[in-house]
Amino acid sequence: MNNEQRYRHYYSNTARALAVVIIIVLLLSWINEGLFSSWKQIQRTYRKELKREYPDQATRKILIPEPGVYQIQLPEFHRTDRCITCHMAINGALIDSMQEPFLPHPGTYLEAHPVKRFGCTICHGGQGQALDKRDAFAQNPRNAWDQPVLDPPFIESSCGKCHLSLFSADSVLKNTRVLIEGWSIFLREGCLGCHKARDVGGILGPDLTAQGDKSRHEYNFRNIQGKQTISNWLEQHFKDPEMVSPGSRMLQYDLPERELVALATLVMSLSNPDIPYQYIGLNVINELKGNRPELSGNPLYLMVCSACHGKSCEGKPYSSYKTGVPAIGQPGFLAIASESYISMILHYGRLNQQMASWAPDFSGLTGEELIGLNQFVRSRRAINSTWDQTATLLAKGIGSREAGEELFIRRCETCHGAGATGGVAIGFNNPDFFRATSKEYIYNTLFRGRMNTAMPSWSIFTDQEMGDVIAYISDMGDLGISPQSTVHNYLNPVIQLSSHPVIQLSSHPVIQHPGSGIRHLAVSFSITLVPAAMANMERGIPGRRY
Amino acid sequence: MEEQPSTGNQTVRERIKHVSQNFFLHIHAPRIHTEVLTPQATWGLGVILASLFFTQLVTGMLLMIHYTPSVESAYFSVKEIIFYVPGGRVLRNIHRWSAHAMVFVTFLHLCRTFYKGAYYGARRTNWVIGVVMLLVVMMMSFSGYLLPWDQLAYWAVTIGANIAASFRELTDLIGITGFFDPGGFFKRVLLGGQEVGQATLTRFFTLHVIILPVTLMCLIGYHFWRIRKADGLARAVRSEEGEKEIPAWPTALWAELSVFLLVAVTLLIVGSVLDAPLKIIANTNLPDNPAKSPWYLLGIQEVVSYSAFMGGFIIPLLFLGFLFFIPWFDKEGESAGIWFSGKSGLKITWLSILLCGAVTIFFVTLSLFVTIPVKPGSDLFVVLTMLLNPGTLSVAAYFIWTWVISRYTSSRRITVIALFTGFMTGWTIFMIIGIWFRGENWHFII
Repeated sequence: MNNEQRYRHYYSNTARALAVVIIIVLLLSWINEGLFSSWKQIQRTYRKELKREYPDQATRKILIPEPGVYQIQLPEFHRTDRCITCHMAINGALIDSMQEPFLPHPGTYLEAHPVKRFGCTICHGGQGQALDKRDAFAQNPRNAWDQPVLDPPFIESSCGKCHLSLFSADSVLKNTRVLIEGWSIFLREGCLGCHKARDVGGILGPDLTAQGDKSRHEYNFRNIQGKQTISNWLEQHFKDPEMVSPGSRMLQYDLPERELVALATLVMSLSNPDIPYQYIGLNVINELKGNRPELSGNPLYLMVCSACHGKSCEGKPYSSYKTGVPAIGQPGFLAIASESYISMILHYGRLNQQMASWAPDFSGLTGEELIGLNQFVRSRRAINSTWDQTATLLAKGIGSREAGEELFIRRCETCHGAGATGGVAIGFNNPDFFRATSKEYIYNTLFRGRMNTAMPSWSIFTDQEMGDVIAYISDMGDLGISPQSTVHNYLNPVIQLSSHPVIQLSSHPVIQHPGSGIRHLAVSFSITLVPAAMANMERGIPGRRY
Repeated sequence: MEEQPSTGNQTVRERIKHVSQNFFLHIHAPRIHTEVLTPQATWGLGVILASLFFTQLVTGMLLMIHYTPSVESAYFSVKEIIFYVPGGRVLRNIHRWSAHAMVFVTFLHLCRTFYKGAYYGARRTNWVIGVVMLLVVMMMSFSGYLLPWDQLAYWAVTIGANIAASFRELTDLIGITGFFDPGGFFKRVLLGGQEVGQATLTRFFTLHVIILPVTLMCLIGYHFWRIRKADGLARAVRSEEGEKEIPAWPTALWAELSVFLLVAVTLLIVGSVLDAPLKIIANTNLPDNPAKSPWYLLGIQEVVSYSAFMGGFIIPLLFLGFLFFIPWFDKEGESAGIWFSGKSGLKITWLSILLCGAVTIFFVTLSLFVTIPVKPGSDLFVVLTMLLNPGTLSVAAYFIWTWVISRYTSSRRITVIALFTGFMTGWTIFMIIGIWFRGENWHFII
C-alpha cells in the first residue's frame, strides 16, 4: 500500500507542520497583545517613575495604581472614556518632572468639570473607548470616528458648545480669547444676514445653529489643500467659498489669518448639544429656546445687514457683488426714505433681489427690533443744514468764497467742470442761468438733489458749507438772495415753477459741450441707460456700447 | 481486501470499522478512492468551505457574547470588541474575512463542481442542495453586513433592499403598484419597515445567528451524506476500482485536517494583519456616494443600474433557474469527473469566456456613448431601457452563443458549458465594473 502511505505521510506531515505554525502564530499574537499593548507599556513607565520617587513600600501601596484599564462610564453622554488609563496623573501630579501623558490637567477647568462627572472626550473630542493613541486621538482622516481630538485653539470651541451666548456678552467664557474674538467677528461681519443661528438671521445660507455638531465626514474635502480637519475646511471656506464648495454664493471675506482661525473656532462651537440639560449653560438653553435679550438697532445692523450693505451702510459695487447692493447710508436715499418705506422693505424684502423679508416669522427678529433697525438706518440721515440758517449766514456775509471754491473743486467739478463750465453734467456758468435763479434755488438743488439725474443730494453739507458753496457759485454771476428783477415780468411763469425746479429741468434739455461743440443728450437721459448697460455687461453681451 | 497489507498498528478491517462505527465519522464512506485525494481533484474547496463555516461558528459565537443588537449600542459594542475584548480585533477580522472567503469559495466550488461534471445521476440532488446553499451563504454574509451598524452596513443594506424592490419598475410601468406591489413586499419583509432601522437590525440578527446557520448546518449535513450516497466524490476512472481504493481512516482525515489547518493559519495571519472595514457610525442623513452593496451583489447592482426589473429580478432568476435546470437538461453521465469533459469542453470554455466577455464589455462601453433616442422618462423610454441595456443584451448574446454551439455539437454537456461559462463571465465582469469602475452617482470612472 505504497500509494496510501505516500498520501498519509504527505497529509499528516502537512497537518503537523501547520499545527506548529498555528501554535506559533497564536503564541506570538498572545505575547504581542499581552505584553506590548501601548497602554500597558505606558503604565509600566509610570509605575517605574513612581517607584523611583517613592522607595517606601507603604507609600507605594497607596500611590501606585494597579495595572489595568481605567475608565469613566458616562451613560448620560453615551460614552465610556478610557483616557485615564494612560493619563494617570490628570487630577494632580505625584511627581513634578513628568512628561505627557503623565501631566496634570492645566488650568482650573477640572474644578467646575470634574473628570468623574464629565470624562474627557465631551470637551476634547477623540474616541474614549480606544486604548491606543492612534484610535483614541482619531486625527487621521481614515480613522472611523466623527470627533477627532481638538488641538488648541480649536479646543475652545468645546467651551462654546455649552456656554456661548450669541446675543449677549457673558463672563463665563472670558478666558477663551480666540472663541470670543471669533464671536465678535461673527457679529461684526454680518454672518447672520444670510445664515440663521438660534432662530435669528437670514435664509439665504444654511442654518448654522448646529454647525459645530457636524462631523468631519459631512464636509467635502475634495477641494481642500492641507490638513483634512473641520477647522481647516472652514478657514479655507471663509477665504474662498466658491473654491471650496463650487456653486456657493457665499460672500468672500478678506480676513487676516488670525481672524480666520477665530471665526472657525466660533463656527465649530455652534451646537445643539445632545447631552442632559443640567450640563448646558443656562444662557445657551435660553437662546436655543428663543429666549434672548432684545437687540438694539446698531449692533443688530452689524449682525444682519452689514455683510451686504456694508459696515457703514456704504453698499456694495457691482464688482464685489453681482447685483450690487444699495448704499442705504447714502444721503440722497436717506433724504427721501421715510420710516414706512424702510419698514415696508424690511417686512417684504425685495422681489427678484437677494434682499429677503425680515418679517419676524422669517428672521426671528421681533417687531421692536425691526423698528430699532429702522430707526438706526434713519438716524444716519444727514440733515446738517436748513435754508433759514444758511440764509442767515449768507445775509451776514459769512459764506467764504475761497472755502466754497475748494468744496466745489472737491465735490462738484468732476461733473460740472472747472468753474462750472460743463462736463458730464450741465455747465451752469452762464448769464442766463444766473439771471433766472436765486440762492434759495441753489440751496434747494443742493439739499435735495435732482431726481432722475446724477445730481445727488448734498444734505451732508453743514450750514457753513452750504453757505460757502452758494457764496462761490453766486460769485460767478453775482446773485441776490431772491431772483433779480430785470426779466422778472416776462419770466414770471418760470419763476413760479422754480419752486419745483425738478419738474422744470427734468424734461430733456439739450446742452452745448464747451470743448467739442457737439450736441450731447442731456445727462438725465444717459444716466437712465446706465443700469441697462451694466446689466448687459453682467450678462457678457459684447460689442454693445452706449 | 483482507489480503491488502495493513498500515500502522491497525488492520484494514479495524480502520474501516473505525469509520463505520463512529457516528461522527460515519459521514465518510469507509473507503475512499486515491484519485480524489490529489489536490487537483477538488482543490479541497468543499473542505475549505466546511472549515470556513466551522471558523464562522466559533468566532461568531465568541463575537455574539460581546455584541448588542440594538441601533443605539451595536456600533459601540463592535468598537468594544475591537478595542477592549482580548483578541477581539483579530476575532472580528477573522469572522469578516472568512465570511467574504466563504462566498468567494462557494462560487469556486460551484464552478469546480460544474466543470468537473459532478451533477449527474445520484449527484443531481446534491447539485440542487449546493445551489440552495450558495443562496444561504450569500444571505448569511449579507445579513451579517448590517450588524456593525456603520455607514458601510447601513447603506449597503439599503441598496440591497432596493434591489429586492426592483420588481417595482414593472408594476410602476403598468401602473398597478398601488394595489399590487411585490417589490415593496419583498423590501418590507427584508427590512421590517420602510427603511433600515431597529426592526431590520433585529431581523438580520435573528437571521444571522439562528435561522441561517441552523439551515446551513442541516444542509451541510445533507450535502455530506449525499456525497456518500453518490459513492464518494466524482471521479473519472471507474475501471480500476478496488485497486486504488483505500480505507478513509486515517489518510482522508489527515488530508481534511491539513486543509482545515491551512485555512486556520491563513485566516489567523490575514486576521492579524488586515483590519476588517469599519466606517463611522451609520448616519441616515449622510448617504455614502456611491453607496455600494457587498461585492458579491455588485454584479446585480450594476445590472440593476441599467434596469431595476431586468437586473434585479429577471436576469438573476434566469441564472438561478438555469443552475437548477442543468442536471435535468444534461444527463450525459459519461463525462462525470472529467475536467471540462475533455479538450473540446476546455476549448468551448475558453471561447465562451473570450466571446461573452468581449460582448459584455462591448455593450457596457456602448452604453457609455450611446443613449436611447427617446424622451427620457416617457413610458417608451422605460420599456426600451428595460429591454435594451448592456445587461439584457449581454444575456441575450450568451443565449445566442449557446444556441450556435448547440447547432454544431450533439453534446448537451458542451451546450451547458457554453451557457454556464457565459453567465459566470458576465457576472464576473459586471461585478468588476461595479467594484472598481463606478464612482460618485454611479458614473463610470477609470
